[in-house]
Amino acid sequence: MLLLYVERFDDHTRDQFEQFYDTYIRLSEVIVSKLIPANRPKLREDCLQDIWITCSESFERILSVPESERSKYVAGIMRNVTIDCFHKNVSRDNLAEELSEDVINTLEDRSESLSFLKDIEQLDLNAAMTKLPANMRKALEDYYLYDLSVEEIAQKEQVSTHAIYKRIERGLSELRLRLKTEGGYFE
Amino acid sequence: MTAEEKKLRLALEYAREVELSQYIEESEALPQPAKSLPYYRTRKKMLAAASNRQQTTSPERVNRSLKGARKAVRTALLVAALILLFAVSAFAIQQVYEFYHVVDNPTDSDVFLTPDPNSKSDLFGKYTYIPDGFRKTKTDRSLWYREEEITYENDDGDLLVCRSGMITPGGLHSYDTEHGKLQKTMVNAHPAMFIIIDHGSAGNNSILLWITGNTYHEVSCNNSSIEELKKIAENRK
Repeated sequence: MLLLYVERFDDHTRDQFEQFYDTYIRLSEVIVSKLIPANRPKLREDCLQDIWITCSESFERILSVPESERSKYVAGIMRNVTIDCFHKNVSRDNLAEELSEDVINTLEDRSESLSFLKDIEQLDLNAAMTKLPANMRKALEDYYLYDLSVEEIAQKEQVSTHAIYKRIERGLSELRLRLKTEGGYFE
Repeated sequence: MTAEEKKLRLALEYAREVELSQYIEESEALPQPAKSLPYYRTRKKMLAAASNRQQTTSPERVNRSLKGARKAVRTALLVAALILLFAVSAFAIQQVYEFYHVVDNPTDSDVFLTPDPNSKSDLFGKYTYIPDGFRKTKTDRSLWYREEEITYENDDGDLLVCRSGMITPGGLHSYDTEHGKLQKTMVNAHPAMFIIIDHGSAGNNSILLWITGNTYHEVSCNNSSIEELKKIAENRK
């Protein structure tokens, strides 16, 4: 299978990629096993393939990252690819339902949509956030951390903007729920 | 950016870091996969290894390498057969070769020596072992006749004579074999002859004679055992 990814490389890069593959194959398997349910073995295989295709495509960029930070960088790529793959294949049906314009407007207004965090301590928020499933957090990361617009995210993931709004809304409501049940600060 | 958004960003970053660290820790805790690529110190070595790998994996190359292996085995068998043949013939020569023969002469017995074709000559050497009490008293060397004679003597007047020389065609050495006893032996894998000549009341004279190439070596001593002479002979360097 590895041959598929290394075909376009020259000899030197091919060897580098083979070493890279050997180093990170376990990491990719761990990430896929964590994020994709065990009852979807085919999807797991697809995700692994997507991961290595993406890695081979962005191999030059990966090599340019300092060695000390490379593991985290690669893990980030693998995680994002896995979540995208999961959304493409699994979540599309669940996101078919339309959101009301009110909800979308609330999400657009960031201060309003995040008002529930006003009285929350940072440590509690961190703890609740770590417990949030990664695929829910991904939408929040894209929108709030990387400041991508909903249209950009939708274009990148090849889904409708409504689907992205839905993910963000679900992520926030899940976070709210976790803060309520565990933190005790949320009214 | 609002305070809430800032808080959310920090929490997202924190959660992301924790999550990725967990993945990395878990993957590092897993056993190493069976296939592991070696670390190459130079690019040249890495490319060579890659080309070797390609060669071994390609079916055409595999066939070619099988042919090569068969050829190598055939060559090895041929070489082994030749070595065996050579060893057997050398052994046969060793068996047939007799380095001396004795002609019974009415007045004396003469020993004819034949050069040894299985070894190289070494005319001048050093005797690294000499029995205790003996000291060197005389050294005669003749480059013309290609002979060397070293004489050792102890306080009792016993003489130890070590002689080496070239075997002349039809080389003839006089030993009183009518009053002596011949015994075959070996010195450092060279054929040798031990002669004990009985001089009656004057005692015995022991001689050890061996050949290397076309050179004979002789160690003689009064009343000495074969072991002692062999030790002297074997320690000649």
